[in-house]
Amino acid sequence: MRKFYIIIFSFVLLIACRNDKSTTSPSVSGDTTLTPYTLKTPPHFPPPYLPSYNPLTVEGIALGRRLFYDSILSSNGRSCSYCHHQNLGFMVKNSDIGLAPGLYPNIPALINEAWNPYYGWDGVFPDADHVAIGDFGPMFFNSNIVNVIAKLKADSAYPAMFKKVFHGEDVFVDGVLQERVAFALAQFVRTIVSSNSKFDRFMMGFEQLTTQESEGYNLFMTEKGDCFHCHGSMLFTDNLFHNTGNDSVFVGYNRGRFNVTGQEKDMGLFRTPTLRNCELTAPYMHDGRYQTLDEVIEHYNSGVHKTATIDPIMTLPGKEMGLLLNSTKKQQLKAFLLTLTDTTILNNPKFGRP
Amino acid sequence: MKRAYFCILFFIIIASSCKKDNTEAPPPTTTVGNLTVQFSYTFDATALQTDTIGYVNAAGYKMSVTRLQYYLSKFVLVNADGITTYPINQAYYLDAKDPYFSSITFIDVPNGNYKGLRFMIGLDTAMNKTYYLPATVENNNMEWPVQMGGGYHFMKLEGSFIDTAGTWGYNMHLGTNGNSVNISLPNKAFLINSNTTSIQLKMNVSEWFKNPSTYDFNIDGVYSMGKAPAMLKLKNNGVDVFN
Repeated sequence: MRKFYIIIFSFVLLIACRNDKSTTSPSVSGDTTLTPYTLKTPPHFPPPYLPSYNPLTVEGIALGRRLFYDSILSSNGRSCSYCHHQNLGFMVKNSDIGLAPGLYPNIPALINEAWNPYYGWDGVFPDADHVAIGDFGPMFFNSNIVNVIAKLKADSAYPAMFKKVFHGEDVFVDGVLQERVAFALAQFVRTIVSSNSKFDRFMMGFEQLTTQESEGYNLFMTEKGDCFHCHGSMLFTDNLFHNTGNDSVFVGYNRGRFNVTGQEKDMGLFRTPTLRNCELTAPYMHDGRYQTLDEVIEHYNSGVHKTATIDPIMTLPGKEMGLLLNSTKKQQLKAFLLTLTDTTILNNPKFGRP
Repeated sequence: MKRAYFCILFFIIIASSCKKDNTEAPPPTTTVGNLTVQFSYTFDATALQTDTIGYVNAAGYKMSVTRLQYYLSKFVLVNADGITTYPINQAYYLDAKDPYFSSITFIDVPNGNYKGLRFMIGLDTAMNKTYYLPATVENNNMEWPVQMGGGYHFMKLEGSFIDTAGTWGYNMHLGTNGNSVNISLPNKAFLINSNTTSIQLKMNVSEWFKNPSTYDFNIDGVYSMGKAPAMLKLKNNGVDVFN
C-alpha cells in the first residue's frame, strides 16, 4: 500500500510542477552520452573562446589527441606533431622539416589557443575549428581522402570514436571528414594551457624574480621598453594586429592582414603572438626571420622600419626609430622574457602521444 | 493511520511544491523603461573616419585616428526637477572602431522627463585598481601596468600626424587617479517611458587638442602615458568633448 501512495505521490508531484520543470530540465540530445570537459581558466585570463558548435568533451579531446599524433591522415608519414613537437613547445623550425625559411609562415606554437580569436599570423582563419582542414593539402599531409577514409574505417578504434563524438554522424565522407577531424583537433589543442612559468609563480607569491629579471619586468611594463601595450596582461598578447616595423616594402606574405581584408590600413599588420614560452619557440616573427630573442630585441631597439601603417605605439618620444636600450637593459629585458618559460607542458602526459 | 499520514504529507507537499504559482503576483504596472545611449564620433563638424589622415587639429597638424578606446563610468541622470537619480556605479568600455562597443543601455530607468546626465570619462579611484574589472580581453588590454601606478587606461587615442619633418605616430593615453574627466550635459533632455528611449552622444575628437589649451604633439609630446603635464592637459581639454 505504501508503494501505491509513493507512486501516486511522485506522479502528482511530477505533473503539478510541470511548468517549473519545463524551464529547468536539460534538453535531451545526443550530447548526453558525452562527458563535458571544463577548461580551467588561469587567474586573470579572460574567458576562453569556446564555440557552442564544437563544445569540449572528454571523448572529443581524446579523439583529437589521437589524431594529432597519428600519420594516418597523411600520405607522407606526417602528423600534426611533425610540425608541433611537444618537447619544443608545440612547434619546430621550418628548416627542421625541410621548409625554406622565409617562404612559409613561421610555424606557430600551440599554447593557450583557447584564448585566440584568430588563427594564422594574418588571422585568415576566424576560428580554431577549421584551421586543420588546410592541413590535408599538398603542403602538409598531401592526403588522398579516399585512402584516408579507408584507413580510418579499417582502424580498430577510430570508427567508434568518431561515431560517439559526432553523435552517430557518418563522418567518412569527403568534405565531412576533414571538418570533423579539424573539430576534434581543435578540442585537443584548446586544452594545451600554459600558465605555470616562473612569472606565474612570482605573480602568485611563490617565487621571486632575480634583480635582473625584475629590472627587465620593469622595462617591459613601462614606456622604456613599451612591450606591454601589445604583449600585456597574463596572455602576453592583445590578440590584435599590428605593424611593428618589420619591413619597408610589402610583398607576398609580408603584406599580412592586408592579404585577408584587402584594406590598405592593414598592410604589414600581423597578429601579436604570445610571449609565453618564447624561449622555446624560435625562430621569431611571422616569417621566422630572427633566430634568437637577442635579434628580436635588437629589432625593436634599432631596426624598426617606418611605413604608413606602422602602429603609433611604435613611435616613442624622441626616439621614433627604436628603444635605444643599452646592452645591460637588453639583457635585463631578455632575462624577464625567459621567466615566461613553462616547462610543465613539455612533458605533461595529457598532451603527449596517447 | 498510515493512510492518513500519507494523505496529509501528500497535500502539504503538493501545496508547498506549487507555492510559486499560487503566490505569483499580477504583473506590476510599468513605471520604468530603458535608455540606450548611442555614441558617434566627429572631428569638429566632420564625421570621423578612422584610419584616415587629414583632420587638422588646433596645433595645425593633419592627423588621423587609428584607435579610440575608453571607459565611461559614474553615470547620473538628472530629472526635470534637477534631482539626480538612477546613479549607475559601473564602468562601460567603448571603442570607436567596434560596433559592439558603440552603445550603452540602462535598464529599468524610472519613467519621467529628464533634462540631462553626468558621467565620467575614465574610472574613479575605487574602480581604478588592477584586476578590479572583469578579466575580459578588452579590460585586460586596457590595463595600466602596476609599475606605472596600476589600474586601467581611461582612454587610448592613437593615430598619426604630419609635421614638416614627416608622418609620426601619436599616443594619447589617459590614466592614473585624478585624471578622469567629469562630463556634464545639463541640456540633453529625454523622456523615459515604458519603451526604450535612445539618445545620441557625439565625441568631438578635436576637442582633446584644444580648449582651454592647445595640445601640440611636438611640444607636449607624442606620448602622454606617464607624463603628468600631458595627461593634465588632455583631462582639462576633455571636459567638452561630448555634446
